[in-house]
Amino acid sequence: MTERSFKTDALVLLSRPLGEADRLVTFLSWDRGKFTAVARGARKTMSKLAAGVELFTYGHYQFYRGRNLATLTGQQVKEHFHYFRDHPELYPLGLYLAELAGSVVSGEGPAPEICNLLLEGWRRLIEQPDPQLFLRAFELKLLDFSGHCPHLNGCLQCGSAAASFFSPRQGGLLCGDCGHAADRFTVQPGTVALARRLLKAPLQQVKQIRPQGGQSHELGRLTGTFLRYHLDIGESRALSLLKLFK
Amino acid sequence: MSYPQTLEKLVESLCRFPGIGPKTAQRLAFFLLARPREEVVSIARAMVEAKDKLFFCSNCGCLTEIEPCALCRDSRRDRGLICVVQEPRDVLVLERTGQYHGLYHVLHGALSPLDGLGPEELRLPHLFSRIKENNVREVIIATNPNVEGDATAAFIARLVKPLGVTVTRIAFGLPVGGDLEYADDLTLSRALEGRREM
Ligand SMILES: [Zn+2]
Ligand SMILES: [Zn+2]
Repeated sequence: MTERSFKTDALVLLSRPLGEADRLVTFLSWDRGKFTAVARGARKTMSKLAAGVELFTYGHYQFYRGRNLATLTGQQVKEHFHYFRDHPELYPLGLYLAELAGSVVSGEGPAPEICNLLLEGWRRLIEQPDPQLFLRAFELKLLDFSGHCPHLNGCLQCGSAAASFFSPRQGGLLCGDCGHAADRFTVQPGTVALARRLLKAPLQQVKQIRPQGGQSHELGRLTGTFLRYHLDIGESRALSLLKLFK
Repeated sequence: MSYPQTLEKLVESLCRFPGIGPKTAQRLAFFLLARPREEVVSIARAMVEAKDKLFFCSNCGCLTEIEPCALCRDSRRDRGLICVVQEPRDVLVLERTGQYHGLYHVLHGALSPLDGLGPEELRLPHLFSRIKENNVREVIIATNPNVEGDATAAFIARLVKPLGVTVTRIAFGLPVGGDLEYADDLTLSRALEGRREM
């Protein structure tokens, strides 16, 4: 970790103006986890770096690490997810995926699973007939990859298959006899089956899954409360933008 | 080598300017010391005065020393047109072209909720009420041609069009990512003329 220059594949999570003409960019990288770097002059129209430091970009980047922040020295853009620019309904969702992925990676260790998940998330979001269901699939996979997967196979205490309660605090399903967790709520077997299916299916197959009445809503409660309890992720600032369209 | 304390303080202060490192700060400090006292006083006074007297117009958000600003007061300006820009300096850039005669709305940023910039921070509700109350017929969106700027434009268009107002986006002949303020006058004039409906 001590060498001065390094290269990695990375995704741009956040890109904000800095000073006169620079950008301060937060990267989520395959080899170095999450970190922030300066892209000098990236706001000038002729800048070679400008195109690579835009939000929703996937690229291969070179950095130099000085005493403080890393500085971006070169890049090859691999993919731009331009569609977020023109779809005001998808922009908040793309940001939400970035927000989630960024929140489970800390420090500069490798994070290939989370990076692949976010990249696939940005690629597939546009083709979703039910974007909310896609978010749930993303949330479940993210929990799984970050070691917080909810227990969804029978009661987590006695193993009974007839587990119809879910407790975020306990970490998963409970039957009626085991633990009366204060935060437990009932879930339909169909919702649990849906959650298991979303966990297993690759993101590219989510668009073929059709939940039945009420399941989406219940699943939203399940992942939402679980994320809040285990990852301390409350109401998303990105998703709150969607309220404007109501 | 250590400086006299007063000099060190000056160099440190100058270092806070964007793009000014210790070496340049030192050069500026010595430049100031070589100038006559009155000149240095007038430079310092100009800074303090600007800080004390300038603020953002409560109507359009541009930099002003009167409330509302001179642009908002000017009866010759077309009140049916509002141009939405990201930064107060973008107003100066567009004014310099001499091509635009409507009013402005300065967002002071682009929609970036992860950075704490939501609709309230950009004063979008105020923009919408201005549009409704003043019979605005066209909103020209001149946010920067990057992801946040484009997404902000798409958002505003989605929310303003139902009010029966034409929404246009200025046409940038610019590479992706660069800021509006770095465009030259001719490019900007053309961009304004060539604006397209969203
Ligand atoms: Zn049990
Ligand atoms: Zn004004």
